[in-house]
Amino acid sequence: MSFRGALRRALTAVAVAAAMTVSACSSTSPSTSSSGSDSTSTAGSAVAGGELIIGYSLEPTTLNPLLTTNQQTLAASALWAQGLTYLDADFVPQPRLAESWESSSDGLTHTYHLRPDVVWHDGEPFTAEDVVWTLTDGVANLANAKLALANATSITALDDHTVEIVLSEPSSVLPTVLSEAVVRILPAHVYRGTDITTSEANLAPIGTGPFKFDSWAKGESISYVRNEDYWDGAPALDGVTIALFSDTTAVVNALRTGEIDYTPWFPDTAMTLVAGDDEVVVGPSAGVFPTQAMLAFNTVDGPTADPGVRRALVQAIDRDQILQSAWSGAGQIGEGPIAPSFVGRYDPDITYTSSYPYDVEAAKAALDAAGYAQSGNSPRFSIVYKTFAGNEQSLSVGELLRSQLAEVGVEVSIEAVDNASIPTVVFTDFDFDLFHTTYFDADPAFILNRQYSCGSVGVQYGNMSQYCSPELDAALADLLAATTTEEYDSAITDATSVIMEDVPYLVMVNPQLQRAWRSNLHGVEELSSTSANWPNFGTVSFTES
Amino acid sequence: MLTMLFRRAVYAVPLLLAVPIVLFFLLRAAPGSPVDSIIGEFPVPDEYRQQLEALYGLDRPLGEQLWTYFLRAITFDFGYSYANGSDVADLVWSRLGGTLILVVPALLISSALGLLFGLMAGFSRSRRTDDVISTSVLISLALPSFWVAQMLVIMFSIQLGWFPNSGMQSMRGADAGSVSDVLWHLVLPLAALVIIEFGAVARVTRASTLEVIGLDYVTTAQMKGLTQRQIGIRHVLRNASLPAITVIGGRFGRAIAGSILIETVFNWPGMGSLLYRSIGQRENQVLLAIVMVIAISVVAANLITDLVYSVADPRIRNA
Repeated sequence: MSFRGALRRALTAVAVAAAMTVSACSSTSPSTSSSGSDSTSTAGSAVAGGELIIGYSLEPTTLNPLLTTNQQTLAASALWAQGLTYLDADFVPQPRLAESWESSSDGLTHTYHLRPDVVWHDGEPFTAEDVVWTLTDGVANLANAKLALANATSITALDDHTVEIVLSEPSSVLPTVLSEAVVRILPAHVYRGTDITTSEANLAPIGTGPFKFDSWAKGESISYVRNEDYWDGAPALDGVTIALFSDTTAVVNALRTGEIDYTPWFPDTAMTLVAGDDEVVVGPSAGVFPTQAMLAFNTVDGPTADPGVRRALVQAIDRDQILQSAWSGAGQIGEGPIAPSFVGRYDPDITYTSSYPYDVEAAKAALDAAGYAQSGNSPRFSIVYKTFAGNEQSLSVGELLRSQLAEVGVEVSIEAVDNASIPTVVFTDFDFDLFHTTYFDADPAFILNRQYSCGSVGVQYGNMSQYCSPELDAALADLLAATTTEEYDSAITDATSVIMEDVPYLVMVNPQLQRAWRSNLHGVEELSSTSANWPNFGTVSFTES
Repeated sequence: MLTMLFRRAVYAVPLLLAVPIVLFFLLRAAPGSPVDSIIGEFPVPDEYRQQLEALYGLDRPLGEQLWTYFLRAITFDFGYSYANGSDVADLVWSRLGGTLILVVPALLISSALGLLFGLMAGFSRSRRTDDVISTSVLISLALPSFWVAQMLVIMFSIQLGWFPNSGMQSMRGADAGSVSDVLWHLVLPLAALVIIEFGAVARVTRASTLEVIGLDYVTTAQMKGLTQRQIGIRHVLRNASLPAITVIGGRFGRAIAGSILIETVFNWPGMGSLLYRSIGQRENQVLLAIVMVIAISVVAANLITDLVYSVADPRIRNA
């Protein structure tokens, strides 16, 4: 081992020396943007070259981001595929493959001007035809994209670098849908005329991003190499390899020994393991959309079908204790259906705290009033809490709820359901009283639509509470069609009021999820503050040690 | 003897034919669909779901699905796995190597260690040797594999930094993927598997050694003036190892099962980690292929055990 170690150090020294020579000669430094990005903790200056290794705890099923919403596929796609725009940290679209865009005042016609100098990884030029194919045939399998694009009457290439989208009615989610948060543009010349679901290109994709797909050793790794012709300047790294794991603990172990350099998902439970380790940095996640850890009530069967009971249970739940104990305090307590990270896009006046402040006595009185009086020590009623097996956080939330609700005389039993069974048990059979999960999305309208609308009942990862209100559906339709800030805000207020009255869900916590990396990486910290999308690592490099 | 082997081989056929049928109904009994892992964690349009279900043949009548499943198993044509983007046979075949590299040396080393320790414990006159060995055997039998694996990682990888803790080869560096690199990665998972496997062999060997050592022919050998070493190897080991052979043969299936968790902890690209992942994905064809490979290996291991047993024991050979 000591021999190997010495050998490795010697090799590294040679590689670093070589890299320094190269960078000194050509001085390509795409990462030196002026935004004060050098103020971060990493000491030592950036060097070109090196192979970045990212650890995933699950292997993607496909590399095509238009076919799945698996987070592994989406995170990996950021390396090689791009959207017309990207969302900055405030969820405002910024130019990516499109240089500029404008919309007609009626909100129906949208014109996007594309960068003229972009080339696909296989050498073909990127044109408006690629955008047209992606936004018509390409998005057929993406529910969120269809929310906006189902209303499109025409999507046409005006010339090689201009695309015009005409809608039959305005869509407030179109800017989000056309960003790489939802749709990344794929090459028409590769996919047109083939079945996108079974195309070979899904396993060896062609894109426009800073890294090109190289190889996929199933069960081991996916490799990407530097795109020398990248339109935004070739990246500093020689390549990026995604190391594929099947277990989170193994990812954390590999990060601690430097076998991997970065992981997009770092479990709270591992925080104590790396405390005091100078070589591992933990920071807020980059690319995970605003997240809510929520409790779904069964609004059709059992005691929770009564809105009065749900309101009483909300008053009996101490969300702060759940945040502190189950989430180690990382995040904020939930105050409504929309995460506060969507700045200016929720109603700050309608909150759980103002409507249902934590109050055990009031909760007891409300349960009495709902017809569930307690006699002696026997519980008012018993309900079943279900969640994902193996999810320590959800199980500890269950334990906390059991003790909190016992205070008001409600008995909770906890059942852990294995992950593959959840879609059937929860979203098809609705076999639960309380169900705990996390939802996240790139737009408040997406979350509201899939979680609360009548049409999402029975849809997987949709509305498992089975709550259905025509009034709320009308407010959601207004929200989707809003063209002005006033219309948008009033639709949000209408929707939030209905939700707050009937509480089909309780958003308990808006957790701050974490990622982690080795301290010899440069330009990693700012990935979470510059964009809301998965990072493409084009500006990341190793530091001189 | 050949007749006996033939008879055993024939018995194995209905067993192997029953495997896919039992597996089919077991998987049907568990909620969940292979389509779920493909579409991801968000809603999808209904048409897409139906298209995927048709790809998996889930839109066909139950009887037809069972028949297809059964045909796949007996023709070894396991089809294409959409969750893995690969032909199932290619996928399992490529992972079989990873498992064999781990399991075969582990079985050989743990058997050798088990025989040695069992013999020493049974043969030794010193109470101390017997106690030390018997205690370590008990520990080996009692420890869960994932715990042993995790402890080895913490001690020898994270604390001491001697060995890597993930994968079969380095992802970067000049010697990535070389033979020495793979061996270096093999050390900890192999050690974990040996630790949990040697106990069973050692326990049986010790018991049978104690039995053999009291028999007349050993006393005779001692009276003839043979050395302890000669008695040990020629008379005791040969007879005491007979029950151990049965145990070793029976361990093969268990070692593969034990490697599932060890492969997961060490991120070893073998069949075990693929099995673990495929259960979570309800990827039925991959599960079928792996279970068939394991079933056939176990049957083959038992036949080989019978064969070795009859070679080692003339009483069986001549029966």
